[in-house]
Amino acid sequence: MSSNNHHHSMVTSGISTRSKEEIIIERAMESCLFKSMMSGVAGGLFGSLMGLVFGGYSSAVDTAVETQGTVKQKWLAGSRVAKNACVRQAKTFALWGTVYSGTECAIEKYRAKHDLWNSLVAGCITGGVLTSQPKIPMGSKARATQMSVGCGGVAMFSLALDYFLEHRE
Amino acid sequence: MATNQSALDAAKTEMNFYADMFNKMADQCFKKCIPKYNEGDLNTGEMVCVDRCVAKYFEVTQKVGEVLQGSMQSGFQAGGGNR
Repeated sequence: MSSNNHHHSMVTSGISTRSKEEIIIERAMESCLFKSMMSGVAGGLFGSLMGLVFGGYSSAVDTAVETQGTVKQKWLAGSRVAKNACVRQAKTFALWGTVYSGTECAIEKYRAKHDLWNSLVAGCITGGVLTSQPKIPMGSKARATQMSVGCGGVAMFSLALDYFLEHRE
Repeated sequence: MATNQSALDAAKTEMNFYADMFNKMADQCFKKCIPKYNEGDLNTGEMVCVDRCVAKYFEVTQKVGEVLQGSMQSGFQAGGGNR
C-alpha cells in the first residue's frame, strides 16, 4: 500500500533541493481543509451512486410513475424521483466525508500521533453531526439520545474500517 | 592570508557544528516520532511530530548555547579563563 514518494528530490546533509513551488503545493495538499474538501467530493460521488442504485428502485418511483400516462411522462416522473434520491444521498455522504476527514486530520495534527483514537473520536463527532438534523421534530432529550446513538454507531464503523485498512499487522 | 585562514577555519567549525546537529537531530526525531513501519509515507501525525521535534531541538541548542556562552564569559571574568 506504500507508494514510493520519489518525485521529491533527495536530501543530503540537510540541504533540501526541492523547489519552493513543490514545497508549497505539497503543504497545501496535506492541509486539513484540502483533505476535507476532497473527501467531501468523494462522498458526494459515492452518495449519488448510492442514491441512484437504491433510490432508483424504490417504491417512490413506482408511485410516481403509475400516475402518469404516456411513456415519456412516466420516464420523466421516475427520473425526477431518482434524481431527488441521488441528491439527498449525495448531500448526506458529502457531509459525512467532509466532517470525518476534517476532524480526523485536526485531531491527529493536535495529538501528533497516528493511532486508532483519531478515527474513533472523529467518527463520534461525525455521527453526532449527521444525526443532529432529524426530519421529525423531537424534544431535546430524544435528540440527544439520537445523537449519541449516531456517535456510537459511526465511531464503531470508523474504528473497524481504520483497523482493517491500516493497523492490522 | 592569515585572516583568510582563520575565516576558513571558522567556516569549517560552523559547518561541522551544523552537520553534527543535523545528524543528531534527525536521529533523535526519527526515534521519537516514528513508532511503526506499516507504510513508507509519513502520515499526518508523524509529520507534525517531526516538525515540532525539529523546532524544539533548535530551541534547545540555542538555549544551551546561550547558557554556555554566559558561563564561559563569567568564567573569563572571574577566574581568568581557568576553571
